[in-house]
Amino acid sequence: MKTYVTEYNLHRPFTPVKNLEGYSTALILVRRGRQSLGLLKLELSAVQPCLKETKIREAISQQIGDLPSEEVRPEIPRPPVSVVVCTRDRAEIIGRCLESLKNLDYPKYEVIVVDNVPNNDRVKQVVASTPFRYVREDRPGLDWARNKGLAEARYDLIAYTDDDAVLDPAWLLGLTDGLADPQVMGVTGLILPAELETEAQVRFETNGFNKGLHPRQFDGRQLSPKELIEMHVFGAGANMIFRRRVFEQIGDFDTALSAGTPARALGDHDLWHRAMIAGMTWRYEPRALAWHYHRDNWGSLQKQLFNYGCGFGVYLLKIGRAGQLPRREVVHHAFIEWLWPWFLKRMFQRHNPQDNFPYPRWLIWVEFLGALRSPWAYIETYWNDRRIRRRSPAESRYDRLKFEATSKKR
Amino acid sequence: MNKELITTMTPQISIIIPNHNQASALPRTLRALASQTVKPDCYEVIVVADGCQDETVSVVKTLEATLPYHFQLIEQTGKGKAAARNRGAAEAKSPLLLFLDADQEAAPQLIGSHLAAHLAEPGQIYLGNFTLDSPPEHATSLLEVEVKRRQQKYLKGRQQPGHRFTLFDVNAANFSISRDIFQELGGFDERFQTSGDYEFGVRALQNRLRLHLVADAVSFQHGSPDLEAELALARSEGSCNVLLAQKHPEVINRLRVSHEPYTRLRRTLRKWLWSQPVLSWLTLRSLTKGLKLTESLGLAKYWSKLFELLRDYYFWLGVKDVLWTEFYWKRLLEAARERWPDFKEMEIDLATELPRLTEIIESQPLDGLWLRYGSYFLGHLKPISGTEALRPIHVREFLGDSLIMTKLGKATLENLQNQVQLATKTAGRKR
Repeated sequence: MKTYVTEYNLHRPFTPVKNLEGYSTALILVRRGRQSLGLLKLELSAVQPCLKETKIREAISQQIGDLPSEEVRPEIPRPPVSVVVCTRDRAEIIGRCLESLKNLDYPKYEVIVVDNVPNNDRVKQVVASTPFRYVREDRPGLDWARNKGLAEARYDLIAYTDDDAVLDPAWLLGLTDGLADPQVMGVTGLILPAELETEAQVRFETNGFNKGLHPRQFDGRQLSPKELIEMHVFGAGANMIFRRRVFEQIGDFDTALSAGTPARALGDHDLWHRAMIAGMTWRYEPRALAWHYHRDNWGSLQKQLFNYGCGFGVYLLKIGRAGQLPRREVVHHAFIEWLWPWFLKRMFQRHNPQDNFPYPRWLIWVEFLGALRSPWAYIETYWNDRRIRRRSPAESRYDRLKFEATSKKR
Repeated sequence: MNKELITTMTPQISIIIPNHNQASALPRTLRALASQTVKPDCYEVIVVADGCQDETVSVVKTLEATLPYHFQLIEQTGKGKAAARNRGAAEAKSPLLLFLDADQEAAPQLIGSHLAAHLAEPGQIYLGNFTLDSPPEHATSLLEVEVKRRQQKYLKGRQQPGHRFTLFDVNAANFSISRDIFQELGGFDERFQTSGDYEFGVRALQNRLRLHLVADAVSFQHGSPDLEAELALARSEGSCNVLLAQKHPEVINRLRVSHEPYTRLRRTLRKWLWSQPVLSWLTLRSLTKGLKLTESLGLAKYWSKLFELLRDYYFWLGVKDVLWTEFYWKRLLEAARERWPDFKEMEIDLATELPRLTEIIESQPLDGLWLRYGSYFLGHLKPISGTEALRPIHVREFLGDSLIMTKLGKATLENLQNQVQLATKTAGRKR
């Protein structure tokens, strides 16, 4: 059944929620002011479900225990940030995102909305009613749009978010908290579901974006090959920030990857991977909070899972061919760590009888079909990328290809 | 009819008509309301166009000038029928509300009889007596026969004199209530896409409101059923059934969501529904194809069986839309069955209290009754959840019909047995 997502703030009075018919569980983010203390999962009563403060308090003592002490935000300089929002013909939902961007608590920032291959000018009209900048990108692909945002950005910190995310007012403060250490080159943040109203959204969330409430730091020089490949522990592209130096050093997003291209997904993973290979330090900072609206119908979930399967295959092929990791490791990862346990084992595994909500098998099949597609998608996407570049060469200062050419010369 | 009422100028009753893309039915409804036995000054009509994408607004605007009564059109974005009715009730100016559906053609005495009933005994719910525009025998398609038969059964049931009203009799197609009571009960629950009136009925019965069927308040239900719409309705009924069971667990035994499958076929189908999405989808497709096939071959009996199966399947699909897995369904039933309603029952000794029986029953709301005559136990009128409190007629019927027949029958048999025994004994003696 549906999950009721809400926030419980120790500093604010909580009004009990009645009439939660149709919901079986509640997902509650416990906060003190802007500090996130923990996530609660609460079973609601099967009949006349409601949410009372006493129940939440009880669950806090059971699930979190002693609450962490109040933390003080460090007194660090807050350099100006360029926020890039990439969208593609989703004027209905981008308003929600832009509204939250207006209310950010940060001294100085600009917002660039990049519209990728728009069919109409509805996004432009929505952006015109806000103080934000609208940029158009006519080459299809999310990474083209991200690079366009990067080229348009005026400041040295570039934050990325998606059009289906809603941002916490302290989002940028959280991200820049993570950058307090000058060693850290980029930060990813916590992404929580904004709603879990349909089964598709709940299934997406089971292997979704939520990477927990503990900050972690990753040093690229100390990671094992497996950790260098599995970049999903960083988070997702809906909530990330980079220093400009990252792009100067390793080039920009690979335009052959990501949504909107035949590779379909995971352009952000590729960039993180390259950064880790180059020995940079990255940080996961849950204080930067974004709420994400997952796709609410089965059709889009199916498409998304297919895209992830395909995208991860293309990503593995790409890093295998780049040769910066031992090729044996990549092949091992593809077959032993990915195809076998993630697909084949799960597909024919018996459901656990204790599990009241088993994961549907056909969704695993859909993702597997995506993975089978990936070799062809790899060929298709680079061929496609070369064709696009021949027609209109990339104007970015940090173009990936330019960078690769110069680095080989070195 | 009350003369004073007819001469007053302020509207006494507001007729609220929710409308969602029913532009073709609306003119007939509005014209029928123009020719009533009461003067047009004493009522107003509010049409709430809820997310209409057809020509409802233009149809109403052209008609508006010809209508003799106070008329109001409210437009809102699609929020559902319950929300439309609540909106209409909020805008109403008169103390009484009459909810009418857009496909109900009012008989001339409809408003008059509702008004008269409220004047005679205020503070109750009066159900209109809506009927089909034509009997099922005149139907032109198998679907129409099926749907109309079902409705006829429902309508005939509630016209019986000793009928004990249940939550399912509160039908917002035609019923009237005082506005204050409606607001006190909190109006319709807007989360209910269908069955919102049943949910309202549960709350009304919990608050011990009396239901009455006004025999003269006739309206004729028009409209030809459509297979897809019928199945979609069944599906949303399933979803709303779950919500209803969660909100009012004490009536779960009255709801279809609590039914266990009772044949092997249905058990199998239910199993597939919960755990085999592919087989379930195939079943659905083959049932739909079978329906078309039997219709083209004119196999009416098989068609109606298949239709019943398909409608049931859609109902359970609706249940699945909300509950997702079988686990939650079982959990709901278990939890709801623990919440047994607290019935109010009483014991009556007919030997001493028979003359005051009516008085006792009318003085307090009772769900069940234990009857005895002196020390002799007569019977138990069992309480039923989701039903109105006992009225004298129910007790009379119980006494006169079931009780007398069983008790008298038993006594006669015992008598007969005694006589036979006596006869055999005397015969033995003679030998």
